[in-house]
Amino acid sequence: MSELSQNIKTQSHPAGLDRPAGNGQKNFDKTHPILSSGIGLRAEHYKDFIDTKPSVGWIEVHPENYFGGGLHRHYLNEARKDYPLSLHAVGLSLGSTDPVDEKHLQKFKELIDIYEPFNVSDHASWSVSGNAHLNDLLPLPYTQETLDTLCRNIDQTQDFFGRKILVENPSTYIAFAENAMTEYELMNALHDKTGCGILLDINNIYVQSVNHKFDAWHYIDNITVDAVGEMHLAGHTEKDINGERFLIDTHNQFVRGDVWGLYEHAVRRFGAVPTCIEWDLDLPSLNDLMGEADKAQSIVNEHTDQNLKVYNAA
Amino acid sequence: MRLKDLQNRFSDYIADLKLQNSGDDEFNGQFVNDAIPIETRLNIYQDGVYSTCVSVLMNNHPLLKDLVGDDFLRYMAIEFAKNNLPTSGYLNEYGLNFPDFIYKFKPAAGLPYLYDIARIDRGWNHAYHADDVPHLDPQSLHDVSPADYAFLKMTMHPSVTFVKSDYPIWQIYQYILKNRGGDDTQLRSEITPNAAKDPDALPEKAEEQDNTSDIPPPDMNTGGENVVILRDNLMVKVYPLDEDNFQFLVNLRDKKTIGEASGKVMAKFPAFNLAKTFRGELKRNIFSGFQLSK
Repeated sequence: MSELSQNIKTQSHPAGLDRPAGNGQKNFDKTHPILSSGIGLRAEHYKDFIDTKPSVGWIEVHPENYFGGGLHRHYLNEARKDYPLSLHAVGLSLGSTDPVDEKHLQKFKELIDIYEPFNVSDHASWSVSGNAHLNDLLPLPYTQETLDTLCRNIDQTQDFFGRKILVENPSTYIAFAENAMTEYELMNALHDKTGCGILLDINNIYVQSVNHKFDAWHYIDNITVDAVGEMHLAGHTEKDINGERFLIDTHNQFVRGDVWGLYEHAVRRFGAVPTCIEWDLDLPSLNDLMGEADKAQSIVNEHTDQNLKVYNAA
Repeated sequence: MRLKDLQNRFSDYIADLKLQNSGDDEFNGQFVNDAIPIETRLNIYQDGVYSTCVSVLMNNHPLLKDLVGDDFLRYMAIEFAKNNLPTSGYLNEYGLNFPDFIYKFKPAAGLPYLYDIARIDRGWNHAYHADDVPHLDPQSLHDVSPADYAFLKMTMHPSVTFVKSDYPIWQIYQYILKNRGGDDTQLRSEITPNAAKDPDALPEKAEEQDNTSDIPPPDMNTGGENVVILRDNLMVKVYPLDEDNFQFLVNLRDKKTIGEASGKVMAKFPAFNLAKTFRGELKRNIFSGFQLSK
């Protein structure tokens, strides 16, 4: 067993940390979730969410949308008063050969200091090359050089934040000829070498298993159990290209049946892990989104002891 | 291929829409080749990158969208993105130079005020996302001796943008709002790389404040108008400014003292009412601070 396995702690009640009195933004006593299911909170749902305070374990937002002030911050402050928070970044470009942008890290850290998220994450992908920021989660060859690059940037990020982060497996649409390891081997190695946790996106595994023709269940069976600090679920779009079934990770619809099946398999292996429903385009009503979160929660309730595992960020 | 070279080549491929088939054997050899062509797979990424850019521009320019329609705005956005991919991971800042692009964009030459309306959209977006800096409390000026007012240098709130135009942009702005009707939200949607594979599937976005009624169509012969955009607490607001007030505030922004700024304006506009303008702008929450300069 890895010495990092003690990174996983079981948490069945809020931590209730003492917080400095102050500017009113620090009254966030709900540091950790009790229920496993969370939702990605989007601007269109702010008002509904704060007015109705639905029964969901926690919320997740993209920090890049909160680097300024104004209404987004206002609503996040309101939501954070009642819900634990996960900050899920899309802009660190952990897979770039250049180091992580210190200005981006600084803005991100300001949010971490204010909102005290229980999880902080980004992706095993890249978007920056020289001056170009390609605002997409671009694929990496799974080689020793890529592993070293990711580890260097994860170390830099964790040192800057003074805490561990989670790294998410991406959806990819192309595979590299020089791959020297599988993606799950890469993800496990990141955990072993840097202490980062894995944010396991179940939909991304499924999407890739179709696009690159591998066994999604085998992938899950080979992920280090203690490394998984969060899971993601989302909808994808199915296409037919030259008679081949091809999937795109669009986050614009309900989670598909096959992905729910794979999630159940993951829950049996990893236990009760915070799980976020991501929906970014063609947004449904908050009620429908909550329905997806309830569905994920019921799978956890059925197959686990419901003691929620929270990755130790220290 | 070293990772750095691979990322450079990948990046170049995505950036260059015109050379979609430019992958040479060395580049194509980096990928697994199967029933789905490498080019088709790479183009999924290219489409993702460009559609995010287009989504951001369309999201950030609701006034332009109302003026020229979805199709023409998307056309301008795509033409802009071809030579202006993002240079930062902070997508709210993408397209700062989109108004300048529109200024020179020949198919839009018949609508010369688009440049200024695009700048109002940009100013609105800037105000919306500006840092949460407290507004200047007028009470804090009570400690300043009236004899020293002329030596005050004012700090503009970080949300403020001034737009000066040769066209009646305030009338055009009000006319757009009137035709929208019934808008009641200030919320802007978020655009993230996760959410932008399909530019046709954009959520409805951004509305302006102000309920307007009985606004006549703009009279294009009435000369230029100026506006200021700022965020007053949580609300983004757009105001018209007469030329004298506009020049006074721009001088204050450029770190002139109140005495210097009002002197310059009064030389051109003898009727300029300093006390009324200053009180009005204080109330509007345009300032965030001051310093005494003598």
